[in-house]
Amino acid sequence: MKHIHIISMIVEDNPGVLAKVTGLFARRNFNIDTVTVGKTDVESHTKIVIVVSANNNILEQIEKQCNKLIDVLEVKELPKEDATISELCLLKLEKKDDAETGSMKEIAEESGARMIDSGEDCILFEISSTPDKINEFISSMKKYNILDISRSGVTGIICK
Amino acid sequence: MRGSEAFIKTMIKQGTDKTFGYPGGKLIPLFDDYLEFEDKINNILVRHEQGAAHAAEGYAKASGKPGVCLATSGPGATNLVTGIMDAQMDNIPIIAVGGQVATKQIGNDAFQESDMIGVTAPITKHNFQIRNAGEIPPKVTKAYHLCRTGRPGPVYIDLPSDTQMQETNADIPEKVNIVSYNPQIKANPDVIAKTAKMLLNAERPMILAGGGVICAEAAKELAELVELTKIPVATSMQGKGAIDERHPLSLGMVGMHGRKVANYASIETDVMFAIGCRFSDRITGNLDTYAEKTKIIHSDVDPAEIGKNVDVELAVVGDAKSVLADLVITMKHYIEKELAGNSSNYSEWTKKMKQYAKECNCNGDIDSHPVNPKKIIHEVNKRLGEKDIVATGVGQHQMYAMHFLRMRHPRTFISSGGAGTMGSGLPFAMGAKVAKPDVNVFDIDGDGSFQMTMQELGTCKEHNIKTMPIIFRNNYLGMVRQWLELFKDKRYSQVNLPKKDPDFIKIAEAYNLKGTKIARASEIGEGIDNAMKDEETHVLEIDVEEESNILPMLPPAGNLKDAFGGCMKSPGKYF
Repeated sequence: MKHIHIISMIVEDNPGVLAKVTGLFARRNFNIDTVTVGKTDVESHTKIVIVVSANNNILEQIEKQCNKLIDVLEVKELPKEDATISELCLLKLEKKDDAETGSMKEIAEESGARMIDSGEDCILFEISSTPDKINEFISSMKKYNILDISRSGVTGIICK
Repeated sequence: MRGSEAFIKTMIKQGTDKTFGYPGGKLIPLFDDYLEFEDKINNILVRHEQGAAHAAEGYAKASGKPGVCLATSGPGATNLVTGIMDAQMDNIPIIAVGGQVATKQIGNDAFQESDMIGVTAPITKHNFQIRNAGEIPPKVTKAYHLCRTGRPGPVYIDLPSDTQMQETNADIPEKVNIVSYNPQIKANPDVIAKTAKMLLNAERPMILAGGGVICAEAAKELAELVELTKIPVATSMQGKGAIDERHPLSLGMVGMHGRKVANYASIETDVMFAIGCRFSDRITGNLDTYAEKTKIIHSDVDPAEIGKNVDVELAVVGDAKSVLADLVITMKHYIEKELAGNSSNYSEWTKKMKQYAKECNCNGDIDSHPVNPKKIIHEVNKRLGEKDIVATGVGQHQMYAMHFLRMRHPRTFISSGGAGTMGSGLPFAMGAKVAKPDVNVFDIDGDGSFQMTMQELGTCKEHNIKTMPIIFRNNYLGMVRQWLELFKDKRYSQVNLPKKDPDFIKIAEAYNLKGTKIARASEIGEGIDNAMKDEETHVLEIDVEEESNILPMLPPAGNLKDAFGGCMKSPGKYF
């Protein structure tokens, strides 16, 4: 049975490390849904969070193979029940008239999104939440004209 | 000192005194500094960088020490790739060094530039590019540590020309600590105890020893375990030589072209203790039916191998030498306590397997004409000294060697398994002879394989490296032809080689070496004797039966029980 798993790893900040990690996933046929990469509190370390769709056997192989990479310091799964998972989404919509903009803002407020910018013909919303809530927000905005979406992919931390 | 000098000094400190390499623009500083260290380290100039990579492998396989190959940037380094991939597949410790364009040119499609870090990332244990001369000693020391510890493997180092020229005062360290790398040596004692109990309580136990036993230098411990427990032992191809193949409990090799007694044991065993083996598809066949009736205890230094291909009852992570030593102590204790002089649960099985192992022994002394390949192996077997080394190319000749040679010690059989690289035979033999100048080194090769790297005859001649290539000439790419005969009704495509071209004896003579052409079985023994007496590399070209098939064989992804051919009574009927 395939499930979504979130793998968080700490790697040394050496040139080409991200390519090595994603290359490993590609050649072993592990399916990446999203990847986020960013700094941690330790200067020479980088955190990579990868969302994969895999069954339990494959997940075990993923963790073990990642651990073999010399630049990888730590690999762990973020269990969905225990971890706080967050993603950022930027949603760009066509701007028509004030009334429509107003309804958009109402829907946004209910979902926890906020309008962060607007141009002549477009409005930009930002939402930072779980992937499911982001999906719901996007669905609720589908009745308007969505021009572009940019999602960051998931990151997460355990804080219990 | 400049970077290239620091590099050489670090290699020397790590115990390297021979390298295999080929120069180019981006290696000029390094080879220039070699001239200052001629009393401590020498490079053997090959004729193609692929020869350097395979020679480094042969050297490492024969000696247990890391082999080093050097190439210049661009096409020099890419010519190393096949050998690096081969080393990765068979866990051979080599350091592959590629010159690189100057750091400020990197990424600009400079002359002879190639992204070797990108190219070799999937086929190395680790790789890195050194941009600062001061980092050379610690990084090269790290490379050696990685390549030879835990599960051995190739490490590639990219060395830009300006880094080679840059001055540094860095010290050459004794060793380095790698935070994220700590292979487990000692296994959990509870798991060792469970292993011991499972084996002692089994009715039909067997041991499957892989290349890892040889990497860990654990042949002595394996022999102790077998002597103590009387459990029969089979090996994978890379494990050939881990146990003396003339031992009555040695079943030989398992797998696609393995001995029927070894495959029979794999089917019938109820508890299999696999150590240093990765359950390659060449030995399992169809994974759905492999070891159906068996509980597998899998021991390996690399935890990622355990559970990767086969389901495992018990995982024993640890270094093979340590695991086997602990197991011997534990089993001795249980045997004394629980058996107390009585025979084991499995003594009938042991007796039966010894009997079958004796029966499963073809007579290779066949005098038919054209020459039967088994005859050549028979004559080699007769003359093999205990520590003599046999390297092979890839193909039918390799499988004949694998199946019929009887090796007695580890590090005496050097053959490309996981990658199956044609052309590896001659340079493997070359590297092995450099590592072990006092033993005979044979290269069992094919007319297809030999042509891929035969230019290394030049290296053998110039550096007085005496090897004995024995070319099984059948005028075909035999293994592919065999598959086309057995599975495609002889629909031959792209497998024919010209009958007279090349004349391999003339090729040897072109390098001022000697060769002997043999067409009859009766001439083989004398031919090999002449090659052995020759002080230089001597090529034997032997015409063999063109369409012989190496059997028995498992059909691809087949079930072990469907092996056919050879001396099997009929498909699936082992004894």
